[in-house]
Amino acid sequence: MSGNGITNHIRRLRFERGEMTQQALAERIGVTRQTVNAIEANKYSPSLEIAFRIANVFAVPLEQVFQYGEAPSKNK
Amino acid sequence: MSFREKSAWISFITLLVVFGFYFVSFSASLVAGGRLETTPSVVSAATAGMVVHAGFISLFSLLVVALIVSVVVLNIIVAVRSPAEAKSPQDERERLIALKAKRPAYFVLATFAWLSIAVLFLGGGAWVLANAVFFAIWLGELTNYGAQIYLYRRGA
Repeated sequence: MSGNGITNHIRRLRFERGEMTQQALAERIGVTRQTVNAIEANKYSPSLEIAFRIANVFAVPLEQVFQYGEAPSKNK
Repeated sequence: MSFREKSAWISFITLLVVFGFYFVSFSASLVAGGRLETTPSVVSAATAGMVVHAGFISLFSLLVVALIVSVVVLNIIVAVRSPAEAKSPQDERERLIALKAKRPAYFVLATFAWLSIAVLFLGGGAWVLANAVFFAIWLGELTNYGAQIYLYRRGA
């Protein structure tokens, strides 16, 4: 699921919230720390529900957490 | 490493070791017999005229118990070290990994289950056919846990 054009600013947002740990974020959104790590590293794209939960934790709009840029098409 | 990844490793390694031993023993007995038919220490079963190999039935039963005990004990040890994670339900990524691993596992299971039919054409009896089907199930389960481990290592 990496390389799908979705990037995020979770690492920066955690840093700005007093260096919130991955574990603390994971507990607040109801996933494992490893899943937060995978999301942060763009290895896993979360569901819309988890994406909104992350945005809610940081109290920012969704687009300030996740960005989408067109991934290179494999069909070309 | 998450609790469920450790659990997948436990299942993979115990399955590989325990029933790997069984299939090595079974293959050795086939090679020693020189053909795909059971010969020594055979007992007749009343149902459907099936012939079963008493020694391997005992070994199989023993290994099933060994597998269950090993998996349960090792999972308890891992769970004690991370109780909160062990009690929590699977999250969406873990559910996705479990689902994605089923696909190659089913392919392996179905392929080897079909191939096991060839045993009948090679002169094998019901006992060998049963073991061939069990071998397909074993490979399918190994693929399932192996794919889970691969996906956990990769991230998703």
